[in-house]
Amino acid sequence: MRAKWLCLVALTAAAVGCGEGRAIFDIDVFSFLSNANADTLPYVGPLSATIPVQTIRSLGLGGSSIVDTVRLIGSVDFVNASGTGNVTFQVYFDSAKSTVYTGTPPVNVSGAVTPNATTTSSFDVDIIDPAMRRLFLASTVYVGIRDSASGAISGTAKLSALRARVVIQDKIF
Amino acid sequence: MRTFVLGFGLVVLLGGAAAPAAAQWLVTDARRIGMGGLTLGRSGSVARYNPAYRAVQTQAARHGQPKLTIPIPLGIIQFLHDHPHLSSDPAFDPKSSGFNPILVANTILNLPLYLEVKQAPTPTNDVIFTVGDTVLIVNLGQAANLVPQDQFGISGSSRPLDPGFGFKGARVSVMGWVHDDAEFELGDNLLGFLRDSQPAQTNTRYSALVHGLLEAGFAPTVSYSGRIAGDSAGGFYVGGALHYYLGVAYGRTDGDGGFITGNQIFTGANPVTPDARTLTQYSKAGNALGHGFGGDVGLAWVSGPIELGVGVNDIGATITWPDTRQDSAFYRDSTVAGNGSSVIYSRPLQDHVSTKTKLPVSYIANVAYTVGNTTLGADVLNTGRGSVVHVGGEQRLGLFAVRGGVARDQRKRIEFGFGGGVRFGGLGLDVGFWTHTNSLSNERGITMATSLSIY
Repeated sequence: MRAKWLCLVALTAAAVGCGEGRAIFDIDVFSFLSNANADTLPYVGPLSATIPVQTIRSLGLGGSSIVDTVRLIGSVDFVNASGTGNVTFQVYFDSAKSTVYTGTPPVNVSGAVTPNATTTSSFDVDIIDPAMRRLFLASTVYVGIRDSASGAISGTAKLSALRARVVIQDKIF
Repeated sequence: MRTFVLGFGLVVLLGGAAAPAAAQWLVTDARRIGMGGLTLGRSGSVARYNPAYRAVQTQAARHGQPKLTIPIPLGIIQFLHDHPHLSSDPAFDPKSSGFNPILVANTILNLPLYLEVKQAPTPTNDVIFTVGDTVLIVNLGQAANLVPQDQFGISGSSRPLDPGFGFKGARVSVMGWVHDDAEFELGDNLLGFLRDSQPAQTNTRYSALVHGLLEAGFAPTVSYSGRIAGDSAGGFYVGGALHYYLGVAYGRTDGDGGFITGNQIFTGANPVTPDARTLTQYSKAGNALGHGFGGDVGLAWVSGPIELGVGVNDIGATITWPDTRQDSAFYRDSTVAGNGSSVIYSRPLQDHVSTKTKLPVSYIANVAYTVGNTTLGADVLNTGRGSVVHVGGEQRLGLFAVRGGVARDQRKRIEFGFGGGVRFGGLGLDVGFWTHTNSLSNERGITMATSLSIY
């Protein structure tokens, strides 16, 4: 059942009301990570680190809807403690918990860091891969974060925003 | 999920279409449609709701009223063109995965008798859902205005048969009667969530009230209608009827259904708990008959070019059902929330108890003014769920006639009618156009009705 009841009520009203208009789902992925204390990830070069895979309760639209666009919009702060170099920050999504970190990350952003400074990197990614787009139709989506540093640097990557904007064409009727 | 979506769509469609359907149901006279649905003389609603009109002479010549109207259902041609293989059309096949009950209901509520000249467009605004760990907000945009704030539904009473005999204005008959009432009302929480984009709250019940009633029977009736002053050219008419309603069967349900959110909106395995309860009451055919008294009264005044009438039906029509069964049903699937076992039961509450129902009081007021080849008129009809107003007129110009009118339906929307006709001796051809709005749009569509008239 998950959150279907609420979504269904909303969807039914939307289906009645929106005619051929679009249904836009603005999923605050960050809120799921933040409430699980999974929005922050230390980095120590040259190693990479990951968070435990987190669960997003998503839309549960099923397979009949047509996804028009999926955009991932967000921002990450690299709070650097020491060293100079580049830090890479990646966000993974998958429908299976066990394979989250085996795919290609749709968000791959890097920032040049210097000692005792915070570098902010924003991203706005338009998902092209149809399979990745359809992922957001599922009621449960698994998300993971990985960061890695290029040199002998250390610090913390703090996710400050991550939203998935999913636009579907109304084909319910 | 599709079932749920279609179900909600049906509810809104039925609610939205109910009012215009009630006002326009089976009006097949293109002449009347051209005048915005106006009833003139003894046609349509006037004779149904005003017993005095049984004594008023037809005045056919004065109103240009035909003896018989035969609809020409051009809309059926259009419908069959759009659905050439109806028997195998998956949208009309309940066994098909493509079955679309909304299309079926819409077809029934708006029988395709008329030619759709201009389709009423549906809104195309975007709908935005904001989903977070503990947040769910729905912004329906302009479509939120379509979410009904008040109670909405379908109701009406009809008298399908009234066989009898009469002498000098007095009449004895046995009238069949049917009363139906279906109502739906969103609870405050659900209304705020859908209409005002209020965030979904934890541990909150989102629900809607549902009421349904269907009752039918027959009524031995004694009535009188006659002229108490004046002559055949003009006079004052009264009418009245006393009914002894005998109810054959009725069923009624009053319920409240929805769901209760959990401690969190999205996280957690089971965030909502379905929850519903209803009280069902029924008296089956074969049980002791329901019974009750009620009456109709009507007045009509005809003086030269002016005609006025007022009629009221089913006054005091309360029916007592002596052998009613009452069941209480309750549903809360606690297994979903994971905090208890499933509880589903329907429990007989009382049997062989006496309950009462009430037929809605209906009324009509009408006025007509005829001078020369011009007829103007207006009527107000209320069948228990809001008033419908028609104002219209007709100008006859030799063989031709032009018509126009305005109507306000039960949703308080203004619709327009216009049309014309041509008459050759005892045969006439009429065409009428009527604007209409559906439940999904404020923009008007236009339908065209055609009919043959025999004078």
